[in-house]
Amino acid sequence: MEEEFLKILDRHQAILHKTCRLYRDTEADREDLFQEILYHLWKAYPSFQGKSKISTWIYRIALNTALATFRRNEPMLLFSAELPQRKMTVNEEGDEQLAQMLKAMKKLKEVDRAILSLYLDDMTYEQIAQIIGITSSNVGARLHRIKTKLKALLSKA
Amino acid sequence: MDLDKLKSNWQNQAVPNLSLEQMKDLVKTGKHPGLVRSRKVLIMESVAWSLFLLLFYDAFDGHQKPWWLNGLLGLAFLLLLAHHLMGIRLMGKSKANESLAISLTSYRSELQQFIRFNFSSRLLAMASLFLFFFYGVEWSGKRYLLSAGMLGLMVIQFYFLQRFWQGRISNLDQYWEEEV
Repeated sequence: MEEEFLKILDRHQAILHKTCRLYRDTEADREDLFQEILYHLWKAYPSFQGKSKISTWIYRIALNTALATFRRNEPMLLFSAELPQRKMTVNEEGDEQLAQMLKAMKKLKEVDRAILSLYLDDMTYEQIAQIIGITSSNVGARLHRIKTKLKALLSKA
Repeated sequence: MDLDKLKSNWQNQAVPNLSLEQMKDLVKTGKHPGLVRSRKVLIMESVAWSLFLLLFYDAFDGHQKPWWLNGLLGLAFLLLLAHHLMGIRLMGKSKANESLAISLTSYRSELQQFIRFNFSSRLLAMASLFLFFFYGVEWSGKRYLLSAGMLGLMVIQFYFLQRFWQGRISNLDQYWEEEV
């Protein structure tokens, strides 16, 4: 069972890392959250019946863990090692856009971040509704509001 | 705002890639950092209280105090232990099979129960200690001041504790502020 679980985790570990990045600001907090999610996934695996897709199951546990646990209150040290005027390569430009997107997403409410991250991972409204526990039409309405907020946040950046 | 670009950025972001061996190690240790920290606090407080209970009968003249006061101290100690165990259980509770809405609603309810127990066990512990050390003393101006100071500290501690827990409940409440 452990081998099977590890293979599944290997295929979907990006979900855990993305969730940790979205809900925790420091490396230490992200590592803690990663381990906590792993703990809950392993604990729940024996009872997973395959009624939902494995990614849906993993996302549900990851988001539950991220939202229901609390981070340590450590001061966040922010510094830039590079001058902003430096010409960026294509990859760095992508990283810069990702950084701006994450910064904007973190200004959203935590449940809204969850809905948006599921949408950005190409989950259907039904899958999102199943994970969050709201109706599909509610998902649509909330996503519309979230996208409007995100647009405003990104335009200010 | 280019949604396709956002999706591409989100889906293709560089993330750490742990090897199977690394993940196997993490699964094997079964570490939950929050639980590890809580267990450490539980052990430290249990040791501190146990030492106190061992010493209080002789060193603090427990044998000269009424039996009910000694019993109250013992009960306070047990309740504090129970409160820590309750916290550990809450933290380790499975988050598997429910949607976010159900899971967080249930967690909020259990957290409120835990908070009530937290306050009552701390109140009993402090009241027991206070009664124990001031039982039978002859009151004077200095002792009144001292006890007023101790009560003041207790009130301040409870105030900050209440703010701390209220913050956690508010944090959970904000998830469902909008119509779901």
